[in-house]
Amino acid sequence: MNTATGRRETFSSRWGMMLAMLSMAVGTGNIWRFPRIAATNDGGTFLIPWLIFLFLWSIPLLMVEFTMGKSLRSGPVDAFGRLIGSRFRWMGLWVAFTATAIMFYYSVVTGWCLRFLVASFTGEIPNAVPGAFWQSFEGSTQAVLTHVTMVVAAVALVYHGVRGIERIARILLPTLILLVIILLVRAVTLPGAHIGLDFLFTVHWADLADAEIWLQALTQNAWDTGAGWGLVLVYSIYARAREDTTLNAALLGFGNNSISLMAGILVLTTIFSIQPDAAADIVGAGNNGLTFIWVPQLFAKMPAGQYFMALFFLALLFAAFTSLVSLVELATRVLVDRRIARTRAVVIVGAGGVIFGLPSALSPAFFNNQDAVWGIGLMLSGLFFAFAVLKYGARRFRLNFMDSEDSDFRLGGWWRYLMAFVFLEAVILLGWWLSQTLSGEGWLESLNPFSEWSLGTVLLQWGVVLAAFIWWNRRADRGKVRA
Amino acid sequence: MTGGALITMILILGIVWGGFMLLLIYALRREAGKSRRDGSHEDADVREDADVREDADVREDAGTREDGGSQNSGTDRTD
Repeated sequence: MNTATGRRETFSSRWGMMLAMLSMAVGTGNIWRFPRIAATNDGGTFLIPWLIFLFLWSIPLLMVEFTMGKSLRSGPVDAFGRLIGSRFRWMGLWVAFTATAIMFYYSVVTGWCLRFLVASFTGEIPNAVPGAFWQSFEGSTQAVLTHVTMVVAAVALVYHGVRGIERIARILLPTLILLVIILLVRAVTLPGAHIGLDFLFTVHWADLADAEIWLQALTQNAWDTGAGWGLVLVYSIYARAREDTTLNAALLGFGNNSISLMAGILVLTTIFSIQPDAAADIVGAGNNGLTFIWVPQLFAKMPAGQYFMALFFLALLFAAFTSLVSLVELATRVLVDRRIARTRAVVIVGAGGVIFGLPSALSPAFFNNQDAVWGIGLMLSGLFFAFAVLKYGARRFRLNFMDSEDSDFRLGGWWRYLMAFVFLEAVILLGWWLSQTLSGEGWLESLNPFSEWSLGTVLLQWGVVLAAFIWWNRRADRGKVRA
Repeated sequence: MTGGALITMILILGIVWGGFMLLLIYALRREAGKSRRDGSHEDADVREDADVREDADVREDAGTREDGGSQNSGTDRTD
């Protein structure tokens, strides 16, 4: 993005950039997904692979994205083209599309957070029947209204450019962290909080042989750090010219996972303190069930619970909104790279966000379908980033772009092995996921492309999108369509 | 709380929260060092302008093989 004077717009400082990046990474994946995934995957046992994948998936991919954005100064599509040749731009397009497809339903989630924040102030929640408010709200016209409101708010912010994003991050992220700390202190001082801590930090070593736990740990890392989404790449375009990339990427990964741990402790200690008998039902109720049905019930049983519930939904709204802003910025950047004026690009993304988010706002089944299809799609995005580095040459990538005099720490020869390992991880886990899905008794049913959640629906949607992007790439390379 | 859970908690929180704090302190010190080396604000502005041009050169360098696969960079460094 260039200013009127022709000078490229950048973040005002390293800390301004890091706040914007951290606010992008910290989202609902940290606050509602991490506690649930940790709880349903044996608590402490899950934390071991989750920590390992921080080093072997999230941080390496964040480094790659940071470096590509800062060095190539282009969104995902052109960054892939510049790095490994124009015939691979379809990979960048996949990365951008996956994040944009997530944006279409993420605005719906952000809208839910807004509605529940309002409801916690007005006293509409909790009510006598757990889930009654959620059931009347989900898929209603109110859900559409809040979805549209959040898209408009995000678009208005992105319209003001990267400095607008930085300004809002400087306010919302520290506030979010403060809210999480207040809630954390309250949660760990509840009677019986130690039962939740016991659950979260007890490791059953034999269970580490369960591949499902490793797969969940990797997808959770991809979800909550934002590694492989293309978002860090886009924000890095606006990094100052002599900015470090390696230390910043590590700082982002550690900072993000620190907040996940806080959220995990606060949610699980609250559950085990207040309703230990129903803990299994609560964590098994899914993302929406845990947050929008059980959280209001839990806070209702706590002294001054209404205030703490409002703080919880405020924190959730801030986390979701800043992540939504980064998704809008990514889609906008892709259009700007196609030489569409930023103002027009923001409006196109906003209109698309409103229209394509409507099915998810109106239909819980459609929402669940999209969440599954594009959530797993992130693994393919990560695979493409690792492929790009290996194709370019991991050593060349490090020497040409990473180990500069601006770097706060230099990477060694181990970098190439790490990138090869990241690539292998993605291949093995995708293969494992496919084989698991096909090995059960209902494997034929799992190929049904029209069910809410099946291998068939994933492969159909991925196949259509990939075929269209590869076709476009070939046509663009031959000059038959506009690149 | 059991002893095993307590040890795991200390280890996990120590690595993640402690790691974050150590990296943050290191980054703050590095940034302070860079600021001292860079001198005044005015100098930094001039340098930023120069860096933008330098940046464009790097980008141009990587972008010269839009169609060339992986053999494009003329600035490869060797150990």
